[in-house]
Amino acid sequence: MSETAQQVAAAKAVPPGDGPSGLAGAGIAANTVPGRTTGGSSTRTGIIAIIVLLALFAVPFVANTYVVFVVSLTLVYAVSTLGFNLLVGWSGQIGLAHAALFAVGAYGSAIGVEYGIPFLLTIPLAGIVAAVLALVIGFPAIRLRGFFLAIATLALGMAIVELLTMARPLTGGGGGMSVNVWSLPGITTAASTYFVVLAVAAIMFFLMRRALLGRFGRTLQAVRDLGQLTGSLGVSALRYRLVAFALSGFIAAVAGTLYGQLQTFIFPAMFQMNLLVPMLVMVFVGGAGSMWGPVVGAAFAIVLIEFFQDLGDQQAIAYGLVLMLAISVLPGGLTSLARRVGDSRFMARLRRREVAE
Amino acid sequence: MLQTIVSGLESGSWFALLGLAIVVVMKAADVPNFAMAEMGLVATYVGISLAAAGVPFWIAVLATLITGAVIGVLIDIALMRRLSSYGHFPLLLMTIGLTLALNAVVGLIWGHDPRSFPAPWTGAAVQIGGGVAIGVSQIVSIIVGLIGAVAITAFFRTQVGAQMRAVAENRSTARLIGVSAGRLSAIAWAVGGFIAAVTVMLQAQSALVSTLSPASLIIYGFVAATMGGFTSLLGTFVGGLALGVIQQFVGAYISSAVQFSVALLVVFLVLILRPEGFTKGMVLRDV
Amino acid sequence: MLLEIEDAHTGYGSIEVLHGISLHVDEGEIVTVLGPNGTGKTSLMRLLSGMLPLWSGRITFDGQELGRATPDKRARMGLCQLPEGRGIFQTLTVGENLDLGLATRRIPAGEVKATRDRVLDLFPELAGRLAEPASSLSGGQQQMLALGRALMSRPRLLLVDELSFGLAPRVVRDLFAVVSELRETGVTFLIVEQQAAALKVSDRTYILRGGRNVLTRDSTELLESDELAASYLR
Repeated sequence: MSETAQQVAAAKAVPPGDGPSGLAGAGIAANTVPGRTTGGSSTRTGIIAIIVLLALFAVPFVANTYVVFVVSLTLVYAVSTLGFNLLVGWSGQIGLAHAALFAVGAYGSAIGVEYGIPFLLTIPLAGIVAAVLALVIGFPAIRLRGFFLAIATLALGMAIVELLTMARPLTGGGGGMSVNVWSLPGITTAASTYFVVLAVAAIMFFLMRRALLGRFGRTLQAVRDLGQLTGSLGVSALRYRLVAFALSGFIAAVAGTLYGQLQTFIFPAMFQMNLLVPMLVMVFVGGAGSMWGPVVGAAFAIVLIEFFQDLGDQQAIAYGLVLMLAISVLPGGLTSLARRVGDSRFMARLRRREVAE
Repeated sequence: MLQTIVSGLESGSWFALLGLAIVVVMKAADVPNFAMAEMGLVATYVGISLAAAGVPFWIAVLATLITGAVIGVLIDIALMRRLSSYGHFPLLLMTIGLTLALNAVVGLIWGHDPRSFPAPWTGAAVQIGGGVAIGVSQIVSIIVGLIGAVAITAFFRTQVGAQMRAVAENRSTARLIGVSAGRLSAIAWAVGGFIAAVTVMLQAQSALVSTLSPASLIIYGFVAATMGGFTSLLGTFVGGLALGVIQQFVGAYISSAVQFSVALLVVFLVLILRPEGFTKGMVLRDV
Repeated sequence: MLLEIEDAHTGYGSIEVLHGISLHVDEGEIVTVLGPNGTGKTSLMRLLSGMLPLWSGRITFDGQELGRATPDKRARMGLCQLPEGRGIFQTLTVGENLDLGLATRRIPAGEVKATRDRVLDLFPELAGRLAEPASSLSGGQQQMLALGRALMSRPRLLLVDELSFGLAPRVVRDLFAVVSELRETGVTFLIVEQQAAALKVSDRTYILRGGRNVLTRDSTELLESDELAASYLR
């Protein structure tokens, strides 16, 4: 057992003065900076969180509709990436059905509202439907290694989007459907949607932070690292992988419900590779396995998308080249840069906890 | 009926060949190359341009094949190799970025209009009984597909091929005993690019190709690879052919709109019933 | 001096496992590293093969500092390994496994056949089964195949990790007989073992405990003295 524990530790942290180890996982460059004291950082994080939340709360009162929309979209993508990152970064499984599960959220909520279910209730309901679906996807895929899992989940995700196209009576088929936008009385629809998005995002981040910094997050990582080293896992480890699938599906769909509200009109083609690729970019840029990376990744992707929107025909090549350049220069993601210069309070704390046990 | 089967075997040969290209790179370099069809497209367009400029057909073909192999090696050396120590995720994303970029480059240089790579036999047909005619280009696709499958199988039985299988079985042990992973991955990318060029060229001598065609070709190639469990060459080849025939029958007797869904259904069934590929257990020793 | 390790430190993550190992192997020697489980023997092997980075200290092989050379680069330099758990590829045939040794490209094309014949003379049990899958071999035969493959890579120094692992004593004796036979042909060995049986064929022995050297002796001297029991077997 001691040997295994050593190996897990090996996969988790990189020896001092050395680059990425040969045991690197699914893009997790867990460069740690030992010896940094983080006393009282929990209160500090709390204070920062409250300040950020207040600042975000003020956005609709000071900014124009476009900015409110962009910030809303960023938050929606950040929530979605939170779930994707849980799967790819924390549990080390490259599942590629995320865009489809996101679509399930958007469609589930829109259809639910049409059938008279209150919008706010459709958020958790669509999440649960997607979680079950994610379990169905994850179950055959869970024993597949690395890229096989990626291909299998990609195909299943595509199948879901195909089904949405075929279920014409419910979804309007390839032509799409419009979404009933829910709004709080007394304020503009944009502001109302924004507050819903903000509230949901805050709740999701709070819950995920608690879960990932606690035993659940550590077990997920241990399962991930063990899987990479031994290639095979016991039943309880497989169960954890399935839980990660379900949870990430739930979060994807929750983000999807909000996405539908923002877009007000949805169609299946929105949820294909053209969404999956930016989603992957967000996880990558944010740094797989990091806590606040999803926000950074989402903001980066939005800026990129908005920036390249006006380039027309050259958009794809620019997008592809920027992506390739980013991966070449920073294989550990944009946040690995920050980590490299020493800001690794989260990882250091995580490591301290491990050593303490 | 016969015509449908032949058309199915023709497109099935393309799927099978691209699937084999994917499997070769997967085995030796451990990368699922989403850009495989685009690599073939770039090479084919180079060949088409040369042929249009008056270069003799077979020289243009040779140039296409060499271009495919060279693109493969360049991608490996310039982009992929340095990422391998960072795990699967950046590699996957890199091939996706490459797909976008290569496709856009083709669109920028050659435009988005469909093109073909006419061979001396393009348009010719063989009459068989009952008024049924089979295109010579269809026969060429099927025969080249078969030759390709046999050649790749033979390749995996050479010393270098055995090293690739060793790497596929256990990468770190293979390196410990001196197998150079970098050299092997360059060879695999060259072979992959070569086969991809063959595939898209076969497609272009029989039908039209454009910047839109790689998207479906790569999916069907991955379906074929999935049917072989990403390791079995036989499974991938037979799977590709079967997929082509199924597609044609679905298109002819049900609707071409559900062809894609049927392909996804095939993947789903394979994964549920035989996640290691459908030839697993049917062959004693697979390469 | 073929291999020299000076004050080597390494470990996993932030946990140091080897706290300053020093040892050397001369050309033509058989050197044993002995120690119970968890003393850092396997880490030492991984360090030498390049799977673990050297934190501090120096490793020189044949006068060249190894630095960060990758495992396959080291094998091509002649620092070959008989991997832990034999490392036979089950999906390959016996013959293909044997020829994997050629991956180091240290044997000129003209000598390949002669080398293969010599290896098969050494292990006649393998000769008739070259076309069979390696998975059909017994444990002892797989270890022979691993040794044969290592010889096909023409090593200057062969690192052997637990030759005796999971094998019957008789088989182990035979294998060690082959080892001493090979030494006559100019192969140098560094053998990591749990079993003291290795001492009978080796010239010098290092004993590791807790990631440090605790003892270095002439092997026969060590076998006859009670130091072995005192420092290791307790």
